Amino acid sequence: MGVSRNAAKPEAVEKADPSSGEPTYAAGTETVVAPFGRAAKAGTVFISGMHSDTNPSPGLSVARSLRLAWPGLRIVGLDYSPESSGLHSDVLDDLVCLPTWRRAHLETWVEQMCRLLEPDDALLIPCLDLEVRLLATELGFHDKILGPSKAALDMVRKPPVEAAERLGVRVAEAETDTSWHAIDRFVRRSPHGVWVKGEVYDAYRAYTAGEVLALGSVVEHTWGGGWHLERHVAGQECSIAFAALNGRLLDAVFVTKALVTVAGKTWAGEVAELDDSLRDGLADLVADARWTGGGELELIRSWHGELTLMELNPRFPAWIHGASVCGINLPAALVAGRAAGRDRLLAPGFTRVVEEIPVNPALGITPFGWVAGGLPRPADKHPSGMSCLGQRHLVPAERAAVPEESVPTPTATTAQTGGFEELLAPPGPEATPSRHLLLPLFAEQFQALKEQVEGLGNVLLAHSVKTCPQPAVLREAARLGMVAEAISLAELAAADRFGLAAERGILNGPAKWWPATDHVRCWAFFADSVAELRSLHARLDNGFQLEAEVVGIRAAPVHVASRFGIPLHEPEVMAEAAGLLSSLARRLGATWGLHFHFAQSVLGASRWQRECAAALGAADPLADQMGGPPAVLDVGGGWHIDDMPYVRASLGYVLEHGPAAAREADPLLVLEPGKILTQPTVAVVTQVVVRRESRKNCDIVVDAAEGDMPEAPYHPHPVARFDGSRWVPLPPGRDRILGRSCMEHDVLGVRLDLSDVQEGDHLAFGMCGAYDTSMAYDFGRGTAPRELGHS
Amino acid sequence: MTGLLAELKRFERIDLSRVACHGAACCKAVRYRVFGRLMQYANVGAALAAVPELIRWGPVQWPAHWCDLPEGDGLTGDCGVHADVAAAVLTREAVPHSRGRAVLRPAPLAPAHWRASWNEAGAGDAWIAARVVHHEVIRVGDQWWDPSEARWFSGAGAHLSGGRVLAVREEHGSWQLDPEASATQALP
Ligand SMILES: [Zn+2]
Ligand SMILES: [Zn+2]
Repeated sequence: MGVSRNAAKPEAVEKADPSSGEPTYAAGTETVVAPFGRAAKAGTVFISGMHSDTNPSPGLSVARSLRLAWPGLRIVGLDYSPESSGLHSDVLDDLVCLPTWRRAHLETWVEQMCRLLEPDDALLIPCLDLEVRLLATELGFHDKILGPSKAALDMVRKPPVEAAERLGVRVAEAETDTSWHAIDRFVRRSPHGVWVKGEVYDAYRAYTAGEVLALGSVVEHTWGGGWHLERHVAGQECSIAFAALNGRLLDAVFVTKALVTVAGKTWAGEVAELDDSLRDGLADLVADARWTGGGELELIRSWHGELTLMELNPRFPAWIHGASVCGINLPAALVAGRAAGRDRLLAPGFTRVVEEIPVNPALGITPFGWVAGGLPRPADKHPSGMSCLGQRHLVPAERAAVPEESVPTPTATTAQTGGFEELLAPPGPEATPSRHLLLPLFAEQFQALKEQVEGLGNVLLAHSVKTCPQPAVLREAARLGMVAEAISLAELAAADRFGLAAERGILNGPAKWWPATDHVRCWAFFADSVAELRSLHARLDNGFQLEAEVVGIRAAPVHVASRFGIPLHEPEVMAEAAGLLSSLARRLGATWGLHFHFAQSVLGASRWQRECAAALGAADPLADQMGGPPAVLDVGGGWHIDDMPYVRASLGYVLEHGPAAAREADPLLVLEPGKILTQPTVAVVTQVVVRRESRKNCDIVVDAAEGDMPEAPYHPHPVARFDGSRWVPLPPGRDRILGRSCMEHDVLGVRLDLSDVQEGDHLAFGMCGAYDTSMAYDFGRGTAPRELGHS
Repeated sequence: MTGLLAELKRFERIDLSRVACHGAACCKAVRYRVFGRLMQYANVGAALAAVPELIRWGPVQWPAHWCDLPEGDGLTGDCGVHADVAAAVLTREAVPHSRGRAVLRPAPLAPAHWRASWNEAGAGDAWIAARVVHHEVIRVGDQWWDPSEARWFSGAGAHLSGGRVLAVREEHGSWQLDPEASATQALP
């Protein structure tokens, strides 16, 4: 079997001559046996996954552990590239370098693996995820492969819900629906971000739906498999590594990461025994799975101590030698096939160090590899070529890349679309794209909001004029008893014209006194900066007439960056703002108020309510300087349409954790929920201009463009198709709707199933109220700004 | 061992730190600045980790008020301030806990640096002895929390980046000594 310290080419396997090279170490010739006894029948142990960099494979670590137990054991490293750095290590007696998976032939690989394992005393510890799966699929049960069977692997597929139940630990919340809408909602409800997880390997952290979509396609392209989302769980990373033989748990270790690399890989760890309940749960789990080989459970421990299971890997972790040097040698337990005693003294932890070694002369050094783009090549993430293996689809997929043929086919439901398609009339003769007002949905949203705030005390609802200045909507808002929230005097005047009286209106924003006038009457205004307060004083000195019952300031968010508001968390700023505000209140004979405003749709409910409570907390120290508590607390920031059920809890949180004044002084609470009321009130109807099919999917081009719904490229909108008698929601799939314009980002819908859609069909986009209407613009129609003239 | 016991006796006379409030805007504004920021963290561990990030470790003259903490653009506080703020976070989150103290043996060259900084600031350096230092910590359940390093530790015998923990003592409790230190690593 090859010449020791030489690269054994696969062909060399057949010509192996035990008498050549250095002595082989059969079990009987071991020099050191304690505490593992003889390495069972092992004379030679093959170990795959030998790459060692800051994101190492486990092979070298397993080899060192076996060497620690048996200095005389014959250990052979196996990998798929001479760049796999661990192959150069002198821990190995020999190495096998197979061709990269891009160039490998499956049947030949199976044949060679079988031949390597022909000798009675040979064993293989596979340490690469996909290789483990491929061995299980191609070779089935093989008594010389110390890796889990296909059935065992099926039991522990992701997300590992069953395994978590067995262990009595939690499992991270997951979302397997990868439609844009579902991704968007899951991300918004995950305050610590999410993980985009490949079916077999890879996990990327993401914070926005856009990032998720991009990373999802990276996973699909790299691994050729599907992906899902898991909510990030904040806490301390820990792992349980174990070794089992035919369903018997041989040994296990609990490691808490103490230092991690930038990529989150373990660099140092605390080592401990498992507690009894975890050990019992794990023993049951491996017994049911009839597990053979190493394994790793990746866990997060919260600050309070609860464990959440994130991953179950069908191989030893790469830090496994860290546990071995501390006194728990799992690879040795596996090869010896014996359970370890538990009355042992452990070193408390391990750390890694970096080490330079000369290359193995048989492999040499692989020269610098140029890449297109001219950048130096980073140490390859998968030098063992596992991504190539994934792309070849040799391992049966556990889940399709998108739920194409899964049963039942997921269909979009009215619940997901807000029901807009039921209110929308059939397409008429009018030219497309056309905009349609669905006014009943405004009143419906208002009613739902009213129910949310019922019983929360004295609450006033304000309509953000900017989210829908449509006269019909302004009239409806007035009829429902709302007041206007305006960001300019022009908006305030428009609202006044359609029934939202200016003297009941609220002025907000950084330029609320535009366009200039010498007399303003409103109910309340909130200054955006200390400079605005100063300039108001100056303008009043110069004869500006201002009537307002409430003067206030807008507090800047404490934690997220914002260009708006006064940073009251800076004590000098607070002192100055308080001085200017109290003299302004005196001048106008007004009471005072405090305002917070940030888009809830960006932060999600959990982060928004904390920002809001923190910012409004300034009301207490301000009250000291103002000589009394605020009369008004005004909270705003466009709420996401899906988050209506969270409004009540969020406001409750703000009242409970915000300033004491909110609980003790009974201020009027003004709520400016923005687009949550107006988002559903408009639909855009468009026609399919072109249908383009490719081998994998299809794109359609419609006669609407981003100018008709400026938010569509960034936020998912429900889409329905008119089937001749009614509007039917489009189901999820892998197709795209492209806008009419020439802009790259003018993509109006993704991950949809457009197989029924034909050229000339009518499609309707829902949720096109709010900024999709108020910020819509002409583009690509040959129109020019009016003031530039027409000649 | 007698050396360590003498130091423990001396350290006992240091009061656990409580930041005082003038009851007026000067202190309330600083309190708002601190706790407004800490409110953002949905997770207790994250909020506690933010304490030493928000309040840079450095000398404070005791007794201290909230309005003594601002320094330049930031806030400065010693482990007593960290412990006091962390304890307030735990109270807000309804996590049962008690205040406590630890005696650490830092790297031999470290105390000279700290003594110099504290002396330059005119702050008391009673917490620095020749070979050991006094450090404020928090007891939570059967573990200890280091509010300046934001780490759990098991008690006497553990290692923090500030040094080896030779002894811990809960407020109103008694000293627990590192068994190894008392046997083999007694102070001169
Ligand atoms: Zn003060
Ligand atoms: Zn300290």
